Amino acid sequence: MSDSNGDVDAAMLEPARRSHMARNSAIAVGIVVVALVVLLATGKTNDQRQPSAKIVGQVVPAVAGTTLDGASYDIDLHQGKWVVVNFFASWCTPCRVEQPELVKFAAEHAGSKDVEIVSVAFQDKDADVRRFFATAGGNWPVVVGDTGSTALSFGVTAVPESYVVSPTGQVVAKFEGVTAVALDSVIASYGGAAASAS
Amino acid sequence: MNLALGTAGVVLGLVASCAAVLTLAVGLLRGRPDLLRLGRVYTWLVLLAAVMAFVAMERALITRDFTVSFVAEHGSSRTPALFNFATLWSALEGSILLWVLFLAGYTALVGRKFRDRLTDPLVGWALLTMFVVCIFFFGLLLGPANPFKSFLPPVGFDGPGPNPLLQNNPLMAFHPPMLYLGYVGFTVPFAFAIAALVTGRVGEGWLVETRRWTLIAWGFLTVGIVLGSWWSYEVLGWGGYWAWDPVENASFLPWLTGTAYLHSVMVQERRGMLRVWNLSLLCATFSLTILGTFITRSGVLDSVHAFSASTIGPAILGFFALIVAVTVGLIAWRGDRLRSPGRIDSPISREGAFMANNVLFAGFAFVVLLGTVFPLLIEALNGKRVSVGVPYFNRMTMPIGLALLFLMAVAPVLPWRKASGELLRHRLLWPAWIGAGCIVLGVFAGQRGFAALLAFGLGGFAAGSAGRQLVLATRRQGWRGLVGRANGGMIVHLGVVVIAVAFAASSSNVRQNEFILKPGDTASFAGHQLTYVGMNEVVDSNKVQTQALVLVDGSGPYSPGISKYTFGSSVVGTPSVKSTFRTDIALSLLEVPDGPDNPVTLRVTIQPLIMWLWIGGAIMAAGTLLAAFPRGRRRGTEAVSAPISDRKTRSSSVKIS
Amino acid sequence: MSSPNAGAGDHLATTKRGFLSRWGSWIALAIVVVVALAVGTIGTTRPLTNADRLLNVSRTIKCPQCSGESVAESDAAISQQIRIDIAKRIEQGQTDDQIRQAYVDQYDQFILLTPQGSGVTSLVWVLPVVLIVLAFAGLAVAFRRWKVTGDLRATEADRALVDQALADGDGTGVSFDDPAGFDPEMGSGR
Repeated sequence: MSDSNGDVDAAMLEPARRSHMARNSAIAVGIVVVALVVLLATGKTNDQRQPSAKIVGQVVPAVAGTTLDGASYDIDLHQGKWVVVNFFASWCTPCRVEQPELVKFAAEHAGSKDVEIVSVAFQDKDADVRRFFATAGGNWPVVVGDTGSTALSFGVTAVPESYVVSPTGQVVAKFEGVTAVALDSVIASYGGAAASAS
Repeated sequence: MNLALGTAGVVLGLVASCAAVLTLAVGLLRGRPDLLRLGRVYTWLVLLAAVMAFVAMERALITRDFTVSFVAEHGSSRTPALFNFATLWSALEGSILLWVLFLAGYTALVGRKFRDRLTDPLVGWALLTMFVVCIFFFGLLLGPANPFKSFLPPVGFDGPGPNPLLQNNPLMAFHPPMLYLGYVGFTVPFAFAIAALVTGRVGEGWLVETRRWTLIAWGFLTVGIVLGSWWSYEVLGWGGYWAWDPVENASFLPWLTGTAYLHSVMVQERRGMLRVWNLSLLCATFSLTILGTFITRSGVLDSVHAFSASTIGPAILGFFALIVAVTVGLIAWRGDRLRSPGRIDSPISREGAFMANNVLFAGFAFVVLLGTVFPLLIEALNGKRVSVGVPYFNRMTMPIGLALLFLMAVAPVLPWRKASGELLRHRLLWPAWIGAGCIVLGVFAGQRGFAALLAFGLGGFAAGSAGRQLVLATRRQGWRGLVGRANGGMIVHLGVVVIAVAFAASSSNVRQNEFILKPGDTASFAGHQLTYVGMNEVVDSNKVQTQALVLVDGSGPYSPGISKYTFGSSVVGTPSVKSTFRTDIALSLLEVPDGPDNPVTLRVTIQPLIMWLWIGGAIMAAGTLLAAFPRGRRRGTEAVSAPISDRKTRSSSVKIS
Repeated sequence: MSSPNAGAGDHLATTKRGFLSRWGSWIALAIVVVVALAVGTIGTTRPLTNADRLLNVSRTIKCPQCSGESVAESDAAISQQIRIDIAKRIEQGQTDDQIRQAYVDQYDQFILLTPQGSGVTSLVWVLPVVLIVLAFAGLAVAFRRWKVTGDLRATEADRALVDQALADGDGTGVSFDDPAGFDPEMGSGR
């Protein structure tokens, strides 16, 4: 394109040197959107996500208080045994669903003195807890009362949640909704109920 | 019967849309205007199909026809009648059906409005695009979101009814339709944007024509968002109305780009500039509505407002990817040739203000989008979980919001092309004094905090500026000074200012506390007296509600309660709010007391100026109506700058290679 | 404002008067605004009660079970417990940051609603700021470039193009608002 007139700025008018800003920005945006689509396509939904388990591998927090029978309970007095700490509530349906599994687990290890369960009632009333255990079964200590801070110290997000504590006082596993098989396999993988400090 | 009618409707819609796309494509590529004229017939067919399906489903819902799977899953004989009508959009498949109805309606409207120009390739491409969108949504109805699956109800079967959270409030009947009228409305300008890109005809005529469609769609979206916010506030019980939740953000993103477009298109009308940018904004707005649909239904982002999980996610994501691919491809291919060579004379001009406006809105949208997907990004990068919540969004969007308020004040008084400091000083003086007055008033009323006071000041500044424009216009033209694009726009600005000030005031002055009260006890909080009178139980056809009767400052009684739904034993809190122009006092009952004489735990949230949020929304809606009001008689829009004839010329059969 | 006969001294005096009369009210305005803002920001506010502190902290802690709600807003059982716990910690005298850190220790980073700004997470804070600043910078550059290039004028080539288009008759596909657009000679390869 000739600009022999001289009184004009060629850069503005020559189509051959027209900038490619639209094309370049479009491609840049396109790349960002592709990344976004990939991100959204591979994102996990909530049910696919693993529960956060910061407490696993740490020393078990204090679990102490009064039980349903009026006795006092302190997990530190149960060192040397496998303890399953089960957080539950009577108003929680999955808790009711998993209770038979805990009963089965307790029955399996009824003879051995090395495996115990303790339930911690979360935001619940004593009468309802009593009724829950009466209908669903279970004969082990149930800590009631002001248990909120206990739950928080474990990092409980919802009920039910169960934590397996090794004889050395370490939290080795966390379950949201538990089965007897799962509990047994955890204990077995750490050397079995008869094993002492590893 | 309902099943047959509904399925027939969906199939008819899909077949008609496919046929329409084929017909129009052949008509456009081979230059056959007779085929292009058939486009209108197809719009009627598609509308008929959508109406058939809609009527079939509503009939099934209202007559509780449990042989239809959707009704079996969401309907119930216990749900009150009006709610059964609204049950359609309370769940996923029905919401797609509503979308399809509106889409078909808009398509038919386009066919009717442009009936004299059906042979224009621009209209042809636009209709084609709309039919492609129809294919997608009808396809969803036939595939992953099929509401017309058959079901064999056992004897004595009764459905569970819609989600309890959605049965509590009449706003349920209005929020989704408004929202969808907005979302779907944006399909029309998008279709014309695609048509303009394909044919290379970005003459001012077309975008002016579709500007009113965009304004109306935007108006519906605004009302939909405000209603949704009000509904959240009334139902969720914690005194919040905007939580920067992924679904809320999903509806906000197209609103942001749509607002940017409505302003930026004025630069195009006046100066012929920013053409490709405006086309991009339209395409972005529509893409974001599809992205929003995905976010609301896929479950990938956690939200209180999301539909329950389904398999529909990948389909919508795929469509989103397709839309963006087509748009990016068209702009990369055509964009540079369509750009105007004009330039802006001075940054201190209305064009300059609108360009700054564009940057701010784009930045705003980026912040919202980034914050929403950031947890996904981090999880994909290093597997960790992070949360991005209200504190982040408030902190990041506040400076942008304040800057926008400032622009709202300054831009209406800026002339086109160039402004002198003298002119600005003169015109902005008394709006600025109004702004200063608002700060002083705020300080006297007890407001503390730099950000909130600055928001008051800038809000007053912007309101003064808008008021000035309205006063000048009415002085010149009487009542007509309130009507038309510029003036309606000023009224919308006033609405925005009211919302901004209410937002600043309410979010910086929240007081919240919990009280345990026995019957007859009074608690004193933040200058208000709360007296627990006693318990009350209300038995409805589908729920039992236990209420705590509370007197607030002696008036009432207000009845926050907990509802237990008979089906499914879900328990939902129903808060109660005392609203006055000055303050809102929200009460929620945290636990059902054991007996009528036992103490109750009440949570009280007190925020000022909440009601002005809804009033501001109403002002925005009124302003939009006034802005869309036709001013005098308009000349028929010249389709392009060059006339079009029916014979085969280069302009009507642009070769697409 | 200044009379055409004004001498140098008068001109100076007029400019001074001009300045005040031009900017006077704005200066007064600025003083009012600054004072009001200062009073509003630094002036005595109601001292923070424990309930206020509870609200402030709980608004930054996510309800672990909910979909994005904070502990202040959610009615879930775990949220109620967390609120009770935070209230207890406030009474014990812990600072807001100490309380937040305690929760991160128990629950991990996701419990905080504000992403902590270290490492790749800081992108969420930095990226928008950088982009907006860049965008405004780009705008400034564009404005500067427009100023520099001066006025547009038509070249001979442009005039020739228009003559040819007029000679061709109507419907050549030239859009009048893009004079350097579709050029039959240039072809479609670009």
